[in-house]
Amino acid sequence: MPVEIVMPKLGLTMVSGTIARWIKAPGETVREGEPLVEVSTDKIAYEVESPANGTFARSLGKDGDEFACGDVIGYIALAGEAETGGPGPATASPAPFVEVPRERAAANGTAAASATANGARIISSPAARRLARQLGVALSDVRGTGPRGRITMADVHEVRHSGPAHIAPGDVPAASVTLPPRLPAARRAIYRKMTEVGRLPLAQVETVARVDAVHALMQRRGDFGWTAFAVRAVARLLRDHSDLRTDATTGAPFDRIDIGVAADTPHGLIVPVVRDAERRSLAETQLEIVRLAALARDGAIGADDVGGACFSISNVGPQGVERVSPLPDPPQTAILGIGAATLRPAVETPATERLGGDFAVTSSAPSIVAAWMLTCVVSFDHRFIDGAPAARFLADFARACADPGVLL
Amino acid sequence: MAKTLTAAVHGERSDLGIALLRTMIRIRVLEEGIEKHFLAGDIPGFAHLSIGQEAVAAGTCAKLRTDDAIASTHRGHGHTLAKGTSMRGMVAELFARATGICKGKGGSMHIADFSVGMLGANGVVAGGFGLVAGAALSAVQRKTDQVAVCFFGDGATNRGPFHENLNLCAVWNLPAIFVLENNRYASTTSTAETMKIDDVAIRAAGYGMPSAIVDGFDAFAVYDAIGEATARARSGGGPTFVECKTYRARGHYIGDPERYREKREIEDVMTASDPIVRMQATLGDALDAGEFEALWTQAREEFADAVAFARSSPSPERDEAFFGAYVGDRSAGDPVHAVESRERDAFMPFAPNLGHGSQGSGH
Amino acid sequence: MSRTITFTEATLEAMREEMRRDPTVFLMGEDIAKQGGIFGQFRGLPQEFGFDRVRDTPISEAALVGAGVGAALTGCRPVVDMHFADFITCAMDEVVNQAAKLRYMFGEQCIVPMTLRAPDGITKSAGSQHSQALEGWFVHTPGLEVVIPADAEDAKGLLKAAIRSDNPTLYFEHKMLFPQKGPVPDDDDFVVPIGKAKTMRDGEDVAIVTYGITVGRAIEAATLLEAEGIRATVINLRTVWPLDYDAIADAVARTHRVVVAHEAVRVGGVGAEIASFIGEHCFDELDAPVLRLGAAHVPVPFAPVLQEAMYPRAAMIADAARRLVRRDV
Repeated sequence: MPVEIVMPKLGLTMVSGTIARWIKAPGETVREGEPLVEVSTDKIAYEVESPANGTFARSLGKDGDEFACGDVIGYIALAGEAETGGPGPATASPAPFVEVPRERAAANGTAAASATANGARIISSPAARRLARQLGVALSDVRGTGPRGRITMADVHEVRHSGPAHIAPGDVPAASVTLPPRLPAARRAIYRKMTEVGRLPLAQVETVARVDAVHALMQRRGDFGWTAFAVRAVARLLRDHSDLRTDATTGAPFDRIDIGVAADTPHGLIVPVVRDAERRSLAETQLEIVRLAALARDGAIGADDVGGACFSISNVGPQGVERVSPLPDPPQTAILGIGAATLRPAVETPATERLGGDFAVTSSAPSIVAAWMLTCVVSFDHRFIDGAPAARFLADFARACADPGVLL
Repeated sequence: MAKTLTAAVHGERSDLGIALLRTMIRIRVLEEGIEKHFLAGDIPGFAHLSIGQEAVAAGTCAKLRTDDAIASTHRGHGHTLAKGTSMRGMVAELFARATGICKGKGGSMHIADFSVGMLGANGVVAGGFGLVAGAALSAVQRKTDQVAVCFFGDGATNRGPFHENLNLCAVWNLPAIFVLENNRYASTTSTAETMKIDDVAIRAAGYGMPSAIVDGFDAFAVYDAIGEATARARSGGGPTFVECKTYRARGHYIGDPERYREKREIEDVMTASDPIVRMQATLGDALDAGEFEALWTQAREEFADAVAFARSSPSPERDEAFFGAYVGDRSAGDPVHAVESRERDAFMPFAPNLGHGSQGSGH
Repeated sequence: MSRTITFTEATLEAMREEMRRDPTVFLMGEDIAKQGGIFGQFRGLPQEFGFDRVRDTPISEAALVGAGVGAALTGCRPVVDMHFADFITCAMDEVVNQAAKLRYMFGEQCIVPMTLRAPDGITKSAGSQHSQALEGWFVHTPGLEVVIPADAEDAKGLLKAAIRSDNPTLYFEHKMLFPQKGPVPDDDDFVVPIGKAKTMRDGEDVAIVTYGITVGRAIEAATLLEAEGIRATVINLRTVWPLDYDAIADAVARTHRVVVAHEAVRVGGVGAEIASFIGEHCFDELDAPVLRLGAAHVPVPFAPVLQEAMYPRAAMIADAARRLVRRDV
C-alpha cells in the first residue's frame, strides 16, 4: 500500500493548511524524514517530511490548495509499487484532485521536469530540463537568467559548478530562493527568510541603559527575567509607538500587541509569541515565556504560538554577550536586541535633577560609578520607520529600565 | 454539319471499318458499364463519359503507332482503350484496385498507359497541350518520326495553354496533331455561348497551322484526316489541327442533371448520328448481323472479365499512399525516402510501430 | 584542385558538361539563345550545341513548362529557363498539376526529369514582380525537388544534379549571385547531391540555418559575431526539398540555439517548416526559441530604401543570433 502524506495539524486552533510548495515532484525518490512539502497556515510555514522511503508517487493538491488537517495530500510509493499509486480521486479526500502531468509522472530522474515553486511554473528551456535530468540538478535550485526567468542550459551548468546560491527574481522571492543542496531541513525556512531580509534597507539605533532599578527589582522579586522585562516594557511602549509595530504587508500598525521572542532550540531558531503582551503582568509574561521556551525546546510548539507578532525581541544575555544587532522578522518592521546586563563603569552627573528641588544644590564634579547597564539595539526597516521615532522608542525603553515602576 | 454517309466499302477498307467498329463498340460497352458500376457505387470519384464521341478516339488511334503519343482529357476512356490499354487495367484502375494501370492512384480522370504512349487523361482542361507539344519536341530532339496527338474539347480552346502551345508547335514545326472533339458543350455550357465562331478550326489559322474539319461521327473520316496529319507530321511538315464535329450523348459527368439541354436534342442527334450505327450502315454487307452482334458479345465478355478481374483484385496497401511521388522514394537509403518516412511520422505521430524506413503494412 | 569562377560561369560549365554527356539534354527559354540569357547565363552554348538544343522561345511560360514536362515524359531532359522566377506563376498548372503529380498519379509509369531554372530574389529595385523568392510554394507541392545554390560551387554542382535527377527540379538562382566569384572543383563529374546540406562554418554558440543568397549574409553575420566572441555554425541547406533534416538536427544538437533565415517571405516560408521540424523532433535540444528571419509580408518595393528595409541582411541575422546567445529571447 502506498503511504499517505497527511496535512498535519500544527496547533490546537489549526483546522486547515495550505500547500505552499511541493518540494519534491512526483517521480522523485524520497527518504524518510526528507522534506516533502511545505505547508502553511496563516501563522506558520512548516515542512512536512516524508513518512517513508520510496518514490513520491502522487500529489492530490497543487500549490495553493487548502486541505483540512488530517486529509491525505499525496502518496509515497514504496519499492515495487506503481509510482502513480494511491487510490483515485473518488476515494481520496474531497480536496481538489489534480491530475499529475504525464511528463512529470514519467520522469524518473532526480529532477522533475517542471517542478513548481509557490504555484508558478518553472520556465526552462527543453534542453535545460534534459540537462538538469542528466546532471541530477533540481530545477527548483536553478536561477533562470533568460527572459521571464527562463532556466537555460548555462544556468543548469552554473548550479552544477558553483552550487545554488541565487535568488530568483519573481513575484514571490522568498519561495524562489535557491537552497544549498545539503542545507539541513531545519534551516530551510530561516535560510529563505533571512535571504529576503538581507535585501531590506535596515537601520539601527543603539543605546546603553542604566538598569540598576530593574536589576534590584529582579533580585527582590525573583519572578521574572530580562526577557520578560523587555517584553513587558516593549508591549507597554508599543501602545504609543505605533510606528514601531508597522505591518510590512499593509503599511499600517498591527492591531494586537503580540511580541515575538527569539528562542535558541535544538531545532534551530524559533520565535514563539507572547500573545497580548500588553495585558500580561510581568510575572504572567515570565510564565508564558517559560512555557513557550519549553515547547520550543521540545519541538512541540504549535501554530498558535508562533507567527503574527508585531515586534520581536532577541536576548543574547543568557549567552553572556553584551550586544546583539538583530534582524527584523518580516512582516514585522522592527526588533529589539538586548545583551547581558552587566556592571559597567558609569559616569554619574550630580544628582540635582534626580533628587529634586528639596535639596540644596551641592554642585560637584561628575563621578564614575559601577552600574548595571544593558546595551539595547533597535533594528528597523527604514522604508516604514524613520530614525527619530526609533530613537524616541529606544529612549523611552531606556527610561523604563531606569524606572521600572511605571510598568508594574 | 455532318457529312453524308460514306459510300459502301469493300476489301481492306471494310476490314478497317470492322476494326474501327470493334473499337467503338468496346468503348461503348466499357462506358455503359462504367456508368452502371459508378451508379452502383463500385467506382469512387468522378467519371466523365464520351458516349457519342467514340468515332474520334477510334478513328484517330487506329492511325497511330504504339510509340506515338497521345494526351487525353478528363473524358478519356475512349482514347485510352483505343490507344491499346487493356480493359482489365482500366476497370481495375477505376475500381481503385492495386492492379489498376496506375496502381489505383489515378482513377478515371488521371488514367495513363505509357506502355502504349498514352500520356494520361488530365484533370485540368487544356492540361494536355503542353504534354503533346513536349512529346512532339522530344521526337524532334531525339530525331525520331513519332507524332504526338492531343485530344481536347471545345472548352479547352478558350484556355491560354491551347493558344500558347499551338503557336509553339507551329513556329517550331513540331510533329503534333491537335484533335478537337467539338461536342458542343464546355462542361455544361453550350459552345455557342462560349465562343463567337462556329468552326474552332479557324483558330489554327491564326498560328499558321493547317486544319481540317471532319464529321466526328464518321470514324473513317476521322481516320482519313488523321492519316493526312500524321503523314505531314512524320515528314517534317509540322502540326495539324483536326476539328471533329461530334456530340456528347451523356452529361458532363455521371449524375449530371443536365439542366442546360433538352433530352430531345440528345435523342435527335444519336438517332441520326450514333457513330456505331453509322459505321454499321457504312459497312453494309461487309458485316452481317451475326458478326455485328458478335462484336457486342465479345465486348461485353471482355468487360465482364475486366470487372471480375477488378473485383478479385486487392485495394492498394495503405502504405502505398506514401510512395511514388519521387523516383527513389522506395529505396531505404534514399534521402527522399528518409524524408518521406519522416513525413509519415510527422503526419501520423501517434501511429504505433512507425519506425523510420519501415515499409511494413498496417500502419 | 579548384578554380575561382563566377556563379554564371559555373552554371555554364554545368550545362555544357551535361549536354556533352547526355544528348537528350536541351535548353529552352526566352532570350537564351541569340541573347545568351538576360544574365548571360546561356552565352556561348548555341555555338557549341546548335539552336535546336538551345532554343529561344515565344513568351509563353505555360507552353514552355508544359512542353518541358511532355519532353521529359518522353525521353528528354529539358532545362527550361523561366526568365524571372516570378513568371513561374504563368505556368503554375504545368508545374503544380502536371510536372509534380504525373509520376504519382500514373502509378510510377513515368519520370519527369525536367529542370526549371528560375532566377529569383531581390535585385536592385527590380520591383514587386521581378524580385520574389517563391520556393515555399514548391516545397509545399509534393513531387518537386527544390534546390537553391548559394555560391559558384553550389551553382555548378546543383545544376548538374538537377539535370541528372529523374524528378522535376526547380533550380532557384538568385540574380545577385550571377557575378559573384567562388571556387569550383575541377572535376568534370562534380555533382552536389540533392538533399544534402553543407556546413559552411562551425561554431557551438548558435546555428544559422539558411540557403541561397542568405548563406553569404549568414557567413557575414558569423564573422561579425566572431569578433564579439560568439561562434556560429552556418548551415547551407542547398536543397530545400527534400530537406536535409539530419543536418538541421545535428546543428541544433551542437548549438541548442537556431536562427533560420531566408529572403523569401517569412510567413509560411521554408523557415516555418524548419522551425516546426526542430520543435517536433529536436525539442529537448532547444535552449531558446527558434528565431525565423524572412522578408516582411509585403510585396518587394521599388525604392531602394524601402527594398533594403524588408528582408534579412547580415546585421539582422547577427542581431538575432546575438539575442539568442545573450538569452534575450
